[in-house]
Amino acid sequence: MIPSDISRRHFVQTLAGSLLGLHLAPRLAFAQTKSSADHIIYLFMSGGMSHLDTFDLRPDDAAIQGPVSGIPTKVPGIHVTDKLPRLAQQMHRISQVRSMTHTQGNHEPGKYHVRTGYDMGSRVVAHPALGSWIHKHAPKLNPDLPAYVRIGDMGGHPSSGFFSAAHGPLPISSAELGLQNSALLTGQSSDQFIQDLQLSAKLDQAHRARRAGSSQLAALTDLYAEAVKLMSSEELDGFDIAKESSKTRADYGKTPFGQGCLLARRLVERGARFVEVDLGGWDTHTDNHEGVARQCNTLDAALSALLLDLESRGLLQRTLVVVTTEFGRDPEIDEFGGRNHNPFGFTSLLAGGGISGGAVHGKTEPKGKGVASDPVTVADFNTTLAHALGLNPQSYESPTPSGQRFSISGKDTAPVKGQPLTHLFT
Amino acid sequence: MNSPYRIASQRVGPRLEQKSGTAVRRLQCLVWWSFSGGLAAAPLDFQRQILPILEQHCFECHSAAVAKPKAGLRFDDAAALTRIKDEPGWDTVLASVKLPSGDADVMPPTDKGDPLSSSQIALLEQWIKAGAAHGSFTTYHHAAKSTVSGLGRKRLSTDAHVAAAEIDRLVEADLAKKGLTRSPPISDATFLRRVYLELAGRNPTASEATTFLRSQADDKRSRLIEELSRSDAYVSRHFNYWAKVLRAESDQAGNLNDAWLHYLKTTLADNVPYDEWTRDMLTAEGRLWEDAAIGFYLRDQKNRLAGYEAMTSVFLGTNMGCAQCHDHPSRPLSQLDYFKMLGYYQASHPFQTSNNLFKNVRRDEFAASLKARQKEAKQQGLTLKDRARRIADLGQATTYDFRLMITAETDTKRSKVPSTYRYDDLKTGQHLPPEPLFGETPALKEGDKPMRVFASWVTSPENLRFTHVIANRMWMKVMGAPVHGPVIDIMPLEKSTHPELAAHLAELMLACDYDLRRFQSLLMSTRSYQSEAVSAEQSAATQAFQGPVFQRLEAEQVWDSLITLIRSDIDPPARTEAPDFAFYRAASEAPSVDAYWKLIEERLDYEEEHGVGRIGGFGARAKTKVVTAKRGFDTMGLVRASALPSPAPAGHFLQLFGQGLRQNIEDQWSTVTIPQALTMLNGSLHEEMAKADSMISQALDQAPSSAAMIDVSYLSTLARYPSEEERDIAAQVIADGSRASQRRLLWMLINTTEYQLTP
Repeated sequence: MIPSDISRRHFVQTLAGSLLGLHLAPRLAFAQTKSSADHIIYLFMSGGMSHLDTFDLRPDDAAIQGPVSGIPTKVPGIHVTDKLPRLAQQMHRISQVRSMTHTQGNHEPGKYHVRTGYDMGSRVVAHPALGSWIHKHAPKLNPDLPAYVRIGDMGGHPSSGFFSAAHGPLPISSAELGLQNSALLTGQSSDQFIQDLQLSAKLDQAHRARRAGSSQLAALTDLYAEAVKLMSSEELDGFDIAKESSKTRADYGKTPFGQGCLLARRLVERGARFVEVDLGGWDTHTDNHEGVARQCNTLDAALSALLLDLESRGLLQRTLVVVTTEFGRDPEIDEFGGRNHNPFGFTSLLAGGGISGGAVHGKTEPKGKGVASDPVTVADFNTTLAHALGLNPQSYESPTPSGQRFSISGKDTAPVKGQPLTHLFT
Repeated sequence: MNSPYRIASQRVGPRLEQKSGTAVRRLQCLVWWSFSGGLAAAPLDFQRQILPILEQHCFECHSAAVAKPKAGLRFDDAAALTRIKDEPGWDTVLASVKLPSGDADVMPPTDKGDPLSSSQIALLEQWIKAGAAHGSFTTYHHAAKSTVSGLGRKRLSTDAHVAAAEIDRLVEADLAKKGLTRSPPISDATFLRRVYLELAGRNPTASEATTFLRSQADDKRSRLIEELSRSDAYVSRHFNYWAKVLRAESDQAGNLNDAWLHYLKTTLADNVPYDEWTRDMLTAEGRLWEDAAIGFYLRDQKNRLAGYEAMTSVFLGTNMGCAQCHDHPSRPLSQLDYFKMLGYYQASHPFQTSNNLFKNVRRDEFAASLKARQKEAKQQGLTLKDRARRIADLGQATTYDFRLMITAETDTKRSKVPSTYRYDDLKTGQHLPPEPLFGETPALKEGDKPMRVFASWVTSPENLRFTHVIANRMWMKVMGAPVHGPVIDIMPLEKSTHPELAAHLAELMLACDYDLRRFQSLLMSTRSYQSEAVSAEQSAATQAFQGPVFQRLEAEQVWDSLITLIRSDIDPPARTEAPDFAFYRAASEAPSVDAYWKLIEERLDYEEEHGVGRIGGFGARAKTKVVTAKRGFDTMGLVRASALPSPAPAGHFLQLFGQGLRQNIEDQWSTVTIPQALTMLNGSLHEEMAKADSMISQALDQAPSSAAMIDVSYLSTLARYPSEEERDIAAQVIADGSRASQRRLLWMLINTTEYQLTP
């Protein structure tokens, strides 16, 4: 291991900066308004979570509802599916947005839209994911820890879009495994590691000079520097969920998602800004109700444990927990007992980080497909998250000097910009 | 309206009020699609595009072929064509071909010949509106008629020098127009590594590199292209490529779908023309042992619309996704169009009802026998330790495996207006006769299989879009930037960055008869390809081809290059044995229920004796959800990516480097991440390389001097010799010649940006 004493760490960092060429631009100093949260844990229900079978029930319409029964929750008047009994006891911490809406009915464009606020279109512009935007705009809370961690695969993820790849997430493929390969090779001393890294950079000099100006090359050297910095950091511990008690681990549920939520808590505790965890399996085209019940089982344990754990550690106040998905599902139950995609109306959740729980914003139509009142676009939703962190959602950036200008609340030319749901905060 | 399709839409007139279903709108769509898809959208070439229409429909009465051309009009001579402009006027000609069949004034007269197709009319109209110019055309030689046959009749040369020179000329013209110049020509060493990565999917070994670099042959570059195009490594590389495009998964539909992956590899090894294997897959039917290409359909048996949309994206370069739910907001692509063409796709469907589970045994009879066995097992409290229970389980599981099949209907009764149809002009459940998205609707005769008719339409040389899409795809693959818009959603030609080049490449693709190996080798023979690479930013800013675009190595390229340092038998044989389906076939064709159970018993004996699992008959493989070994480099075996499960499981090196999950078309990613850097710095790949029997250790052992060791290290990683300065540094590192010092030098080389980016 690289010794973790300060001078050594300092040396490694200096080296990483000077030799590997740390290209990270100094953070832009956006005036931070008052923030209600420091961190976001972003739970993505991948595949399209059925709003009708979870939070936005239709108890009076058997044809739509199918075999789902609601149960009362901690909040009078709010019912959720009986497949979420533990979460029902946490509803006073959670606010629901039942009027999410967009028009992208397929997974890839739907996910892209929810994660970036923009349509994928013909992929002329690669928009950054919300997490990358936050990575770029929110000052780092812990200099040794990557601010944006994603627990899940990167396939189809917009990542840093037109921002430098250095603003992309640190991907962790499995919470169980954590961050692998962070220790030196057997027989390699830290002195030799540093010396060899210098020599490697020297051997690479001609190539780097020839391709100076390429952002891909810059991102590669930047991430090497970040990796080396992380190797010498005490924050490596944050990636190791084996350090948690077996009871805590069991509380979250022994599922990849549950353990991912636990890892998210450890990272947030150490100053990560944005941690994203995916729960796949919501694409319930066949046997919707069985599928949703299975998914709820996982979600119920993990999310309720997360909220309780954050609360008991005094972290919930400053950690905004978000549950969202690429779209909801159709009111019609088809011949395979499945539900199709429905982007026109669906539900997302907000908890902690200054959110006053127990509220419900917006309403879907009686049939549960479109939005009946108070529609919330993805731009509105993401602007709300930026608002919680005290960031200016209308800070525009462009992929090219003369190109269109984008912000998390929409393009500069958009007639209507995303509006934060300020009334959901205390 | 910011849509890139704005101009095309305007050209076809204002959008109609009525949402769908009118004949007028249909015609407008045809016009749009033929513009967007075809060569027609380029500045029209009279001789190639218009003359054939005139020849087909007009010459019989209006040419020098008849003694007295009707009304004194001729369409086969430049001077005569110019006269038509004044009298009767091209608008009159156009109006008369547009009249409905049977009209007294329609041209050609109803008794004389077939009316012009909608797309021909569209083409003619476009040509007339653009001024009815006939370029260098002088006069038509009627004697030469038999050599003329529609598109591609120019028959471009596929000689590498000629074809490459023509492409380079078009690229140069574009560069000159933009005030740019081509990047400097690349060295042999750069060429070597670039071509290896593109065609073989990996770095060359030190000895492969030495052979090429030392060769004095003038044509050594073209020879290398040729040699690699015919190598086993080519199949490995291109399997990886097509597995991403087709989202080919090992585990889809049970491991049985390995049969499809095997089909793809064999198809590539045989270099089957692209149009042929497209047709093969679209018309696949039966069970996996009858036609492994049904894997194409099985891939999406759980979400058929996703499969349909992927098919149109890949083969027609048309993203139809949004029209599943509503008319496209900016293109003439309606929800009705979507469901009409779906009619063909739905006529080939996965086994759903299980009526034909067995060939000879009645399903209910089998179900009763299974139920009896299961009931007995339960009553006796049997566990998996008891043979009777294992037999019952295997008997049930086997039916899950072999029931996979595709039934190709001969009717279109499944083609209906869906309940999700948003507009009022049609009723849910109403029959919908299938129609393709554009072009003429092929006749569907009694007994025709709709999917066969459709497959012919898709792959017809008349369907220019099909050809454009694959030409664009191959250009993108080799050059790193497309010529014709996104590969799965191409642009109207006139809106694309390089209309002339795109049209030329499509012609060249036709001249190659869809031989993708040949086509790629032509692209790689160009100076445009053999120039220094440019960054993605530069490529995006200039929209020109100064050289190929460099990028991070793809996951498989890094992995396979590292394996090259470890294994001496790096490339798996291109042709492997087909999965053995004998058991499944026999089981599905068992003459009676008793015979079935007897087969199951024998099978169980076999499996227990050989220690294989349920699907152990071909390539028994433990399902590995997450790679759990601490450093995860060799967990699945040190073999090329194409020999591993597709895709590799979460946590595998290939996943860390962006192989993607085969869920969306080409969902691989090339972002650089911290875990990648940590793997290259500290991963167990270095321990594997350091082993005495690794390829690189053996090569280093044979090196007679430390100078030779340095050469071997450089050639094995960067495929070049070091500069003097680099040699000095390397010499210091390797001064004592020890294994440890060799290992350090390799570590340094692998952790350069030069190693991790394409040359």
